[in-house]
Amino acid sequence: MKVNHINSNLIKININEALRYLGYRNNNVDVETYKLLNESIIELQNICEFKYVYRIFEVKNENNIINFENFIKITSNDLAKLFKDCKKSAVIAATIGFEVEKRIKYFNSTNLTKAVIFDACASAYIEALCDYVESEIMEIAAQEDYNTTFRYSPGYGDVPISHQKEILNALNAQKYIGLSSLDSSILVPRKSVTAFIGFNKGNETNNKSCLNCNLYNNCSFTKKGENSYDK
Amino acid sequence: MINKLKEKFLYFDGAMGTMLQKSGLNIGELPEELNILKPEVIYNIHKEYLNAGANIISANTFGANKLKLNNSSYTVEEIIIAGIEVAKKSIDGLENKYVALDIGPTGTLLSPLGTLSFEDAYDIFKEQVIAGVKARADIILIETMTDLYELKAAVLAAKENSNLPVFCTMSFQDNGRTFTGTDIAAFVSVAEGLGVDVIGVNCSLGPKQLQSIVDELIKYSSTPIMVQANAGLPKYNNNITYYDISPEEYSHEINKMANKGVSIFGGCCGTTPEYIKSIIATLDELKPLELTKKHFTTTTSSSKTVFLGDEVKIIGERINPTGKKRLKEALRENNLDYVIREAIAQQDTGSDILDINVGLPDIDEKEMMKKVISEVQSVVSLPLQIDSSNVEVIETAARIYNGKPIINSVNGKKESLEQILPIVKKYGTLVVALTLNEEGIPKTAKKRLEIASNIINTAKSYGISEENILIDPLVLTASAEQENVMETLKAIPLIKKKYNVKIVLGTSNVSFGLPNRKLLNTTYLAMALSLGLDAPITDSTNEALLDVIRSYKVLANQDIDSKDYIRTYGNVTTENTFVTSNSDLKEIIIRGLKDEAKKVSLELLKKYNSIEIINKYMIPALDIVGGKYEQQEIFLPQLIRSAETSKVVFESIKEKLANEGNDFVDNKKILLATVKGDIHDIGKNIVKLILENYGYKIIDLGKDVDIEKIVETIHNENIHLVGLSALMTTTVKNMEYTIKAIKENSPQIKIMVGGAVLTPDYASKIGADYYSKDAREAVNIAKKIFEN
Repeated sequence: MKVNHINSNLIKININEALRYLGYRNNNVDVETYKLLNESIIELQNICEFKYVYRIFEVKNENNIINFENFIKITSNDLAKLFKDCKKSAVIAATIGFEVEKRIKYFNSTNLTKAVIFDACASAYIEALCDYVESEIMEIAAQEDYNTTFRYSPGYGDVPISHQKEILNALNAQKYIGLSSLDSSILVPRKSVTAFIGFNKGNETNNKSCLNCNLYNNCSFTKKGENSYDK
Repeated sequence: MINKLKEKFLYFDGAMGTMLQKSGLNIGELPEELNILKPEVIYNIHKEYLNAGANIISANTFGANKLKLNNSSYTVEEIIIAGIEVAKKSIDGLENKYVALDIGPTGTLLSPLGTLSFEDAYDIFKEQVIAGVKARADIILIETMTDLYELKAAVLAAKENSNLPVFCTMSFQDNGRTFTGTDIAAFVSVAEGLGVDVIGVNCSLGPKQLQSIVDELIKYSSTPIMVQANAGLPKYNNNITYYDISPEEYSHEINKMANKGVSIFGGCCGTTPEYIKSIIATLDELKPLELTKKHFTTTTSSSKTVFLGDEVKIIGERINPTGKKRLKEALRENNLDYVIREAIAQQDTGSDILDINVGLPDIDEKEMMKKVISEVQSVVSLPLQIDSSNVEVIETAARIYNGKPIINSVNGKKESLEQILPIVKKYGTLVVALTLNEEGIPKTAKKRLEIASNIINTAKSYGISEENILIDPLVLTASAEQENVMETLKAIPLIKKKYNVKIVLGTSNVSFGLPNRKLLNTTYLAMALSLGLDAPITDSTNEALLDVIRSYKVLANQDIDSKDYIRTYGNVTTENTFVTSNSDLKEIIIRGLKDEAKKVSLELLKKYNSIEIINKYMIPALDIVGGKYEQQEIFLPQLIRSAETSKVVFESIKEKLANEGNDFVDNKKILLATVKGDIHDIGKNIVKLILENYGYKIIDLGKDVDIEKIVETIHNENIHLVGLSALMTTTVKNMEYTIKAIKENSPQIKIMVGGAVLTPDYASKIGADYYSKDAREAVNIAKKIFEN
């Protein structure tokens, strides 16, 4: 297990990612939106608390049940397929903290335009933090001569989102990074992610694919003829 | 036990989880079940800590609450009783050893951050406390809290359902705040106010990083302090998880803490009996220091502490319906947006504390007070002053308030003292005390001092100390009682000389009935400040009053180096030099020029009536914007900006109508809500904004809304269309239940639904009449419904 709180200058976001969440594709962004984007990014750099915890589990994968040392047990065809040759898995939880949540609420009452833009930038930040954690996990895997699968979260494919609580408990996430979930499995603070990354010996890396996602039929990106992952 | 602290340090045990892992058990996710399944393992761990020298054993009950044991085959009571029993067995026959019922966080978040209500959190803790008392625990240890609100629920549950000593700790990050933003001063203010016996920090950091947090604790706390640090943070290398602080390094840091005044120690994550042994060996020769009594006057929210006395603090007075037509209307209509905007405006203009008064004869004041406090606290970080003449409202508000509030007010009448002071004591609040009694407001300063003395002494008999009392010597109106106006001011130094209390005063009544009220108000305020007024209850959006306060702070050496003053007045430029190039309202809305919208619409209102403006400018502009959005010529931020601009125009129209004594006719009512269990509301708020622009009256019930509440509101408000939002697969279920309940009770109602996981198919499957893919679509649906 490892817990880390990192400095904000280690995390950089891609502004296009935030724009994509707002529905822009390769369109020109108007000046005012651009100004609010920049304001939001500067503000987020000051208030984000980048925190994560992960733990490497031995995994058993039998009859479509993936067992993480009895801490988490998931019944899923999709994850079983992804974890076909995996003997281990990292389980990660990451968050950018409550201050962001509070700011979004504040803008929601004072300036809805800014709220929407700020929210999109915050989403880009948690994604960027996950990328950072993922690269750390890949290094660990490489030291032990493993490849890694892509990041897979509850709610993808047929993995029920209701596993959030087990995952958070297994990582002691509330204690270490202040992350918990509601009955509805919504993570709080909301700009947070939990995910699995499998360790396998195969050469083939599994790419992120939209077809693996249960939002595939109703994704706002695919609806517009665009993909989230198949970039 | 607490009394023995003068002689000896107390030692808790170290980590349970770390020891369980060492025992090689495959424990899975509910380690508390081991109390029943493998009590011998738990017993042995307790014994190891006792052998290391620990005095207090924490039973293995940290997560034994209803929520975390949801999937367990054992009840909370069974697990807690088994846990305490095995701990009791381990101390059997030993002297000076105690067992603590260990209570950790519920594992979920309280509303408004989450969805668990304060009352439900209280009940969860109550169940644990009752089981612990039944099993004869010696102490209640509430630990590792990160949410001050949850801590308050737990402490109240412990105090109201047991007579046991209550120890409580929160865990802090290296920025000196808990994960949810509480600082040490707020924690100490609230926990001490609630009467805990020991206060402290645990977990999260290693002892070295905790030193600065301990310093802060010692600065503010008059209550014995405990520390249970981690052995650092877990790290991972070469397949091993490890903590990087050795027992020796650990106890070296503990020694420093003992020399600062901490008297109770133990360990958290990563610590083992070796650490406890090492601490005890290090402190063997020492005696605990006695903490000095502190005398701060503080009021707090969950994340902000305001110290009264050091410099002038402003108590914002605007949330009080007396004489305010718009606010009255907003409260009657349940329009909390308006209240929140007032709160934010006061925060942004420099109020330090906000007075909250929602007393109106024709509303349920208690329910409204609860709602307003919760909503205001979710957006504004300032502490609040609960202002009501109804004792029940005050008690309820003090209970559900997150932090240490001010109660406004008690007075010298016997009845008032008997009703209000117990609440002040129990919830550990500040209280405003008015210098009046059965004989009314006294004429002289001396008499005011007498009443103040009586209140202060009576408060002391309830265990309330001077620093928790704010005296209000009551302003008189110059037009009516000119000869006595100065008596109020003279009372300030009289009272302050005798007592360590702070002075508050609502100053603006002095000018009532006279011309140029601003002049009298500012002069009077300056006089009161110079005589020692600590916190005027006033309007921070009023520049003239702020001018007085800012300049006073310079002259009284409170604004050091005149920093605030220079920042405010140093480069005053005339505002809005920006010249409007475009006075066409339609264009202004399309381009989203919020700042210009008001001026131009006021101009137009001189020439046209409101309907003309709406039909000729607003609606066409909005249609153009909507069309562009559909064509993907513009995107969401621009759509919202135009809508916000259009809302400014709307507000101007409404204001003008209200001034003329007319109401805007809006009988096309739409109810919006994010369904039970879901807390996502940006999408719903966008829909609301856009619909409002088309003249629909929106009843917004917010997020995480109970089904019954929706059904009831439809009935009471004569609603025609309901919009429901849900973002999660898990909460779409609740959407389905909500629709079913609505249709059963009001079959004629049309329902539209939206949210990320919904599809048109799914919407119709769960019984919705319309699927609205975005805010623009919601307008089309509304038009269809209301034009038929």
